[in-house]
Amino acid sequence: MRSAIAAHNIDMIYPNVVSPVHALKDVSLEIADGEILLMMGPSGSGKTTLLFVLGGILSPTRGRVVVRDVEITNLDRRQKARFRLKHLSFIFQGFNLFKALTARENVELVLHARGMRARPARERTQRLFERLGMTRQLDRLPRDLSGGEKQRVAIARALVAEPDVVMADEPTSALDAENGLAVTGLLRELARERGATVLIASHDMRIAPFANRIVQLNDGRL
Amino acid sequence: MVVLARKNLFADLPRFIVALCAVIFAVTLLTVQTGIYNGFIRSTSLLIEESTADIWLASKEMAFLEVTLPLTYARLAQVRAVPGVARAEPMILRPALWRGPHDTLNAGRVIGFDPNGVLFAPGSVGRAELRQLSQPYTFFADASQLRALGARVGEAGSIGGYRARLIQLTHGTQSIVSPTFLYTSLETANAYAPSALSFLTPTNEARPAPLTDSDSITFILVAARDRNKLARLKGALERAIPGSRALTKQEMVAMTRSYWLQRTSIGFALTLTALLGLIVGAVVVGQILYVSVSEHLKEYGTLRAIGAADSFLYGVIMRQAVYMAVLGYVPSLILSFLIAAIAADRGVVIQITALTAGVVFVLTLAMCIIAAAFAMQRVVRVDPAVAFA
Ligand SMILES: Nc1ncnc2c1ncn2[C@@H]1O[C@H](COP(=O)(O)OP(=O)(O)OP(=O)(O)O)[C@@H](O)[C@H]1O
Ligand SMILES: [Mg+2]
Repeated sequence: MRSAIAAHNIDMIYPNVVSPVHALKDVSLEIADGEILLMMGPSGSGKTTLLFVLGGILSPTRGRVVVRDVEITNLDRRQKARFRLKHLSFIFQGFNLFKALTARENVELVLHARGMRARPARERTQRLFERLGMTRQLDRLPRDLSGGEKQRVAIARALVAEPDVVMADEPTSALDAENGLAVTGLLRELARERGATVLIASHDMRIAPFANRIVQLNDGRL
Repeated sequence: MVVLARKNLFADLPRFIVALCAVIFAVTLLTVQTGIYNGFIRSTSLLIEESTADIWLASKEMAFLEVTLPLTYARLAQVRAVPGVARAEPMILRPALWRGPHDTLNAGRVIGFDPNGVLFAPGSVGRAELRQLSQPYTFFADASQLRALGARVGEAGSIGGYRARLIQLTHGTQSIVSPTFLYTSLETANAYAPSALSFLTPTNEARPAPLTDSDSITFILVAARDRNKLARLKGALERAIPGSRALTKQEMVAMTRSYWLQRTSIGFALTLTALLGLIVGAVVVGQILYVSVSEHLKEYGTLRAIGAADSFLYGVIMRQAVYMAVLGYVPSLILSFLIAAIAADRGVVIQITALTAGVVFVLTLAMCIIAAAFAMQRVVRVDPAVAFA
């Protein structure tokens, strides 16, 4: 099977003036196409840092990251952004919905950023909300949505552009147990339908059953 | 992008209104200043514009409209004899001292012209009304000058020792830099010729004498037979009348305007204040766009994490700047017209032309977009990592 993401010998040192932090130590990791990988580890173990590096948001101090046959560690800032826009998407811990925009507009925005015209963006968003059973929430502002609904909108936003890889950082930490599981289930389902690879960083053990594979990160080491 | 720009901008309404007020302040200031400038410039040459003459013939020493040496009345007949002259009418323009019915003293300019002529009329006064000036020792003046004259319509004071009755008002005819224009018939103007002696010993003839060849006049207004050959006619007039200078209406206007521009430095003063207004507007708009970016840092970070292009982020800020420009411009224009209307009641002409409105709009856009530069700098420097914080 082809690998969606391959990381080779990643070292990440945050160059703090007082004492540099060695957040990732010689991490190598391969994630197969369509795989759902759960990355676990205690707080401060480097989960978020690894997501940043794999997602091209941070450049590692050492090592190479290859996503879909592109060595993103060789790309400059603009090229990385373009690559993310086309192939990757993120689900954030605090949902990161745009407060002033309705659920629908939050999702459409991603399509607009990719250069899609208003009409098809609207239609595609509509279909996805229908699939999520959230048509009633389409025109609500984030402040009028429950936590679970917000995360569903965030998932819709991450998947609407049909990315190759979805990266989620603590997607359930702001949700109660029930919602957390429902939302993770939904993420898995939608990702399967679209053949997307999913990478979840979390210390929430209950997510484990949804993953194909679990890796453990400890003090920057796999 | 459009929705985000609009909604993020309007999300904080009070702040948006502050920004809008700054734009309105700057743009209104700019428009009104430009209007004052236009009005001033136009006002200085109003008298010339009111004439339909193609050419103004004056003494060759003329400095500008109100500072020149006299010609003799005899020149009029000579001008009329020059080929290519369709019509020629004399005009007298002289300093005068007005003494009102309640002893108000005021500096004036007597403007004598032929009420039955066709080459000059003050403002939009009709021919029939003009003929009232044939009554001896009467004059018209602009409505804005009533206070300066200390007289009402129908009341009489004196000019150069002669009785002078204000019989009618004109509107929008007074140059704001000039002494009060007192419009009279040629004969009355001729009688009012300043003479210290006559001022001390008032003479009250029933009717001023018609002009004779030796009387002095100030200009000869000329209508050309062929308006396409003005240059040639000017030459012919100057040759026919030694010591004279012929100027087209446009040249006369330009000469007078440039005199007042240099004399008053008004252009510099107004440009300076308008510029200050623009700077204040730009600073406030820039500050508010910048703060707006700072407050939505996580949102912009999210956009950057998603991989939105710099141009997309710029677009959001740019649109906000354009919203401010457009939404600030419209009320400013309305406000400026209002101010112009109020000023007009007080005799100050603020002239807002289509060109002014257009130029001001471009400057408004430029002001807001330049102001947005700081916010744009900020937004592309946002670290996508803030999205995960
Ligand atoms: N910008 C930074 N500058 C310096 N050190 C950092 C920075 N970000 C993270 N670190 C350090 O790097 C290490 C790994 O942090 P990271 O956020 O990746 O951990 P994590 O596993 O995501 O933790 P958590 O479960 O609390 O989110 C920690 O020691 C942290 O203090
Ligand atoms: Mg983390």
